[in-house]
Amino acid sequence: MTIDPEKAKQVLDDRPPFFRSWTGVYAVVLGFLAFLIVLFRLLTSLLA
Amino acid sequence: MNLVDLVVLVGTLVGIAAYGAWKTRGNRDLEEYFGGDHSMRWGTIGLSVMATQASAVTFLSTPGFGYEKGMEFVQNYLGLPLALVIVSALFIPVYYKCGVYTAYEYLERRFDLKTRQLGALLFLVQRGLAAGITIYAPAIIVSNLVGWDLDATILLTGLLVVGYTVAGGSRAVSLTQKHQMAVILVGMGVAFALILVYLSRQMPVAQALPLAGKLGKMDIINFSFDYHRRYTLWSGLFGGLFLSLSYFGTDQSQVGRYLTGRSVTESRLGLMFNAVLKVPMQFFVLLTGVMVFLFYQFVQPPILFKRPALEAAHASARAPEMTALEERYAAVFAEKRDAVRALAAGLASDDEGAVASARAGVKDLAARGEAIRDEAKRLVAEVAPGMEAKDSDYVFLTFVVEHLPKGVIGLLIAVIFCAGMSSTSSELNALGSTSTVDIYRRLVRPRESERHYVFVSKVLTAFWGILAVAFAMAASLAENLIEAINILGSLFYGTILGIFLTAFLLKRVRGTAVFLAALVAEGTVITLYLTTDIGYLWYNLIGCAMVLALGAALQAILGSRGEIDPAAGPAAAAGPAAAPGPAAAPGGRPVAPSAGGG
Repeated sequence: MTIDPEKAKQVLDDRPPFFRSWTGVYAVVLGFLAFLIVLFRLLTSLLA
Repeated sequence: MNLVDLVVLVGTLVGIAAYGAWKTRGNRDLEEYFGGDHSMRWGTIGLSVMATQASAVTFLSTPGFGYEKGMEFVQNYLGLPLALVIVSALFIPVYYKCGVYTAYEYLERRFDLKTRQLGALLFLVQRGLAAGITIYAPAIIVSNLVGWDLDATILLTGLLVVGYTVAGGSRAVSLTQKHQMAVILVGMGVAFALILVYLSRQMPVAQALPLAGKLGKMDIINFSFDYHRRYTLWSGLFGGLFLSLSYFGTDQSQVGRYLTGRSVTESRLGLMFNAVLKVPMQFFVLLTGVMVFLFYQFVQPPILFKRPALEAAHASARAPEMTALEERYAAVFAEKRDAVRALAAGLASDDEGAVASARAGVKDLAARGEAIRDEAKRLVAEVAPGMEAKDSDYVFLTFVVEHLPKGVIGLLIAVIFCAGMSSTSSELNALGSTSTVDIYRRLVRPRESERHYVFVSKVLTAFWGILAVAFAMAASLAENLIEAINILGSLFYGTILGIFLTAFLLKRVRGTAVFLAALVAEGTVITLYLTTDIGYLWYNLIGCAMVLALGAALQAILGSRGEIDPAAGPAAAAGPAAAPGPAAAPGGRPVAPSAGGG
């Protein structure tokens, strides 16, 4: 089966939107996780 | 159930199923049938991945957990974003570059055929049984509460999901999941808003969270290192990471979802969508349970939420005992309600002395109420064995059926069935793709036309669906079976993850070493299960660690003699960073030229 190189290039495209690399995206995601943990800890302390 | 609810329920379920089947009719080849023609955008992938994970049990048991024990269960999901980042960074590029339909195809490229077959077989056994339970679990609870015939409920919902999954393949699964997830989010949002409205008639809504905190339901994060505690930050981060990595990285029901993506970017964004939203979503579902708990501090709940259990007791010769227990429970509840009102008033006036005094009173009365409930459960166990378990699973739906308005009840029952059907459709699609691609096309008939494989795929997907429906109809002890399936999953997940992690991380280990290691690990895990009482979650860790350690040790002993790495050259042996080049996986879909290492 013939493979269209242009389509293959599009499929393997891995540039994230708004960021230069995926490392930045992962940092934001993990930063958000850290924020949630701090927020949950704060709620636990305040509401105990 | 009244006509309005029935119309909302049937309209939602049948409408989504019919739309999915109609929009995706006429699949021409496997690329379209299992790969969704690689046309999905990140939003659809994200919702599809979310819907696959969120089964009916999520929306029945999780609010029940919040009601019973509070918010601590959210910690269980804290490892999930970490796992999704790893899957996104490590697994997705490799799967795309190898051009696989199933995760197990990659194992043949990296190791050999026997390792691929072992991975596929472990998945088929585990997921084949689990599919029956995902159909059975919502049907038993809804039929118990609404009074429907159980077999008819299983048959109707089961055949509906089998119908559109067989007809439309992977694309139908993704499209229906998008709409099912929308129904779920809207339904849960409406339920949450209505609970707040009802609560506002009893107390200021602003006091809800402080009151829940004083009643011990808002212990969200616990930094304790006590390993006896089931839910802590550490068990959530590390245990959750482990389980999620196995589930999202190697379970075809999830791998099949994100491989429908238009590109690596779309698949990765779909996973990041879940990495960001999953924890807040679970927080919200648990909080719904906590709000139901608060509601039932002011409105008396039934002594047992599982209505058939209560009815069985009342129909027995010991009905007077149950009636007496209910009267005692009502008296304790009335006292507790007054104490809760005093506690809320103390919080509103910021009177610490009143708060402490009322809190102690509520705690004492709650313990007395629980003691009466325990007596009621024991009574049920004696008059109707098997009926007493898992009362908390019935809390949320009891609240829905008894307190929400017409139309919303139908919507919320649709939420439960949408969640069940969305998980089941992914499972059936994954079972169909694995048995077609990894077994039939690879071993039985390797050189047939695409049309032939699509036909066989539909037959095999239907076979798994009918098997799941039959299994669900044969099941009789819901809760015990659900736990049994969880145990079954843990027996296999560790070994499967160990094989994949060996593939990615231990570049020198080859097929025979990892295959033997996996067999020994699986045998050890099953032996431990049969001979010890180790908590079943630990089998995930044991199985995985054994495959990694034994694989490395066996490879050191075997050396490189006599084994040809089937992964087509040095690129594969070098691991994911230099994944295989343009050659197609044996029996796999056409592979795109590698952008990385080929």
